[in-house]
Amino acid sequence: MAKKKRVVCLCEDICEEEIRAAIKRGFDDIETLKRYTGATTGPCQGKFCLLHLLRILASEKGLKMDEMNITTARPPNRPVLLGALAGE
Amino acid sequence: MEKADVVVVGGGVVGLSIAYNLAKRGVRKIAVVERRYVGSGASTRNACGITDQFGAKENIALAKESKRIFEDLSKELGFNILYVRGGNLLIATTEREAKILRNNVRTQNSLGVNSRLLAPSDVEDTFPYMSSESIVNAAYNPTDGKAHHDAVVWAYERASERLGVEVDTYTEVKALTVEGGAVKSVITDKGEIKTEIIVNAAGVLSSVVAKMAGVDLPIKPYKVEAMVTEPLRYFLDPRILSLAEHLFLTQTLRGELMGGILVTKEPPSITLQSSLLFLELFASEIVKLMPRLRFVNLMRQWVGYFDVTPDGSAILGPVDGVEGFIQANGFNGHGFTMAPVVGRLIAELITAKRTSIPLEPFRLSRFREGRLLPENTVS
Repeated sequence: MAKKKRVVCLCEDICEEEIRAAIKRGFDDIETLKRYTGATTGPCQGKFCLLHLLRILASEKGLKMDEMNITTARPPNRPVLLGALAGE
Repeated sequence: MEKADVVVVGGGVVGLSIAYNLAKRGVRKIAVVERRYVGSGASTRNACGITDQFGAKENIALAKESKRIFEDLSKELGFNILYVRGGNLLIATTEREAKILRNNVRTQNSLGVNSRLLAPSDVEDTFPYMSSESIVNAAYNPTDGKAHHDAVVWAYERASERLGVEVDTYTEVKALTVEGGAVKSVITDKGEIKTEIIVNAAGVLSSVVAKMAGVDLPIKPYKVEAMVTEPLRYFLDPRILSLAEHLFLTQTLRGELMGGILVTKEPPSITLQSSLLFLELFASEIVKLMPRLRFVNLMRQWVGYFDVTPDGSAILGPVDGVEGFIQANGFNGHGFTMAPVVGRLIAELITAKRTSIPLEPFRLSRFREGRLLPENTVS
């Protein structure tokens, strides 16, 4: 049986091995790790996955969670239809 | 690094391209000093466009060469920049804007750029997802393109580092030392780097950096707000730009639509505050141009800056009075398109004292001498 995968980002379908591989490839800042893997950029906008991502990055870098940078949370809180924003 | 041959201030796409090209030409000790992470300013907040649809001949000449470099850049740098030759569509919604497009296309064609004008009905025929209702005229260049802005930054960073460039992230420049009219060192929060050449590629903060050497740059920050939608099946080849509101829209190879507007109603300032006003303004303009987008979800919004100069063209090359202080800034939102060629030309200037495309028209002294380089297009 294949090894069980641990999914980190549900929206973008990214598992832990892929995150660790990206960090080893040098994307070892939360800002570049987010952009390279696409983790935290799906419909949940990081609400489910950002902490997992930070925890994995902290463990790879041998840092504590409170020593980590964090990405900027962007509005809106939930996805909104362009038509609604256009006042339709 | 304690002593460098060249220190580049700014680890954005322009600074990294300069560092890469210097290293490629054999300069040994190069340090790039970046306040945050690589590409953290306008380099990864822009519309990803690669175009030579400019108005001034000098800008067209630079952009043409940059386009050529972009086509083989993935291979040259050993990193896939997700380049697509998808074209670039400029839209005029007033007669005044249409006149600008007509003049620009005439100038572009005279220099061998294959842009052409499209009537509103041509726009709908060529791009069936668009509504031409508000369009007076459009200009299209099918050989323009786009690449992923993050990937381009990483590609230059990695290629530079392989050639021995030191990229110091999270390092802030505090002062520049000038003695006897020549640069001597860069002082950062991590220490001092002695050098005889400093390149100022700090984007919208370039005027702050220049001030440290006693040089005034006429660069004003203009806030651009941007957004990204949920991913859709890839359908939008060209990058679309409307001259009114400087509205842009592009689709990445991941499928997301990325778009924004220059928020001109606000006075020049640097805040990274997103606004609801932008969302409403952008959404109503974009559903006019592409009605079916009303059913698409917006995922997040952010803010970036245009580094705007009085004539709309960049400031490139040396300055009077401070030897060894080279400018590569004031791109007015065209920094991404211009980065490959500017990197090469600034490297030529530093290593050979002359450049394969003249940089003299872009010097800072043009503002004092009244030899402006008026550019009327948007990025």
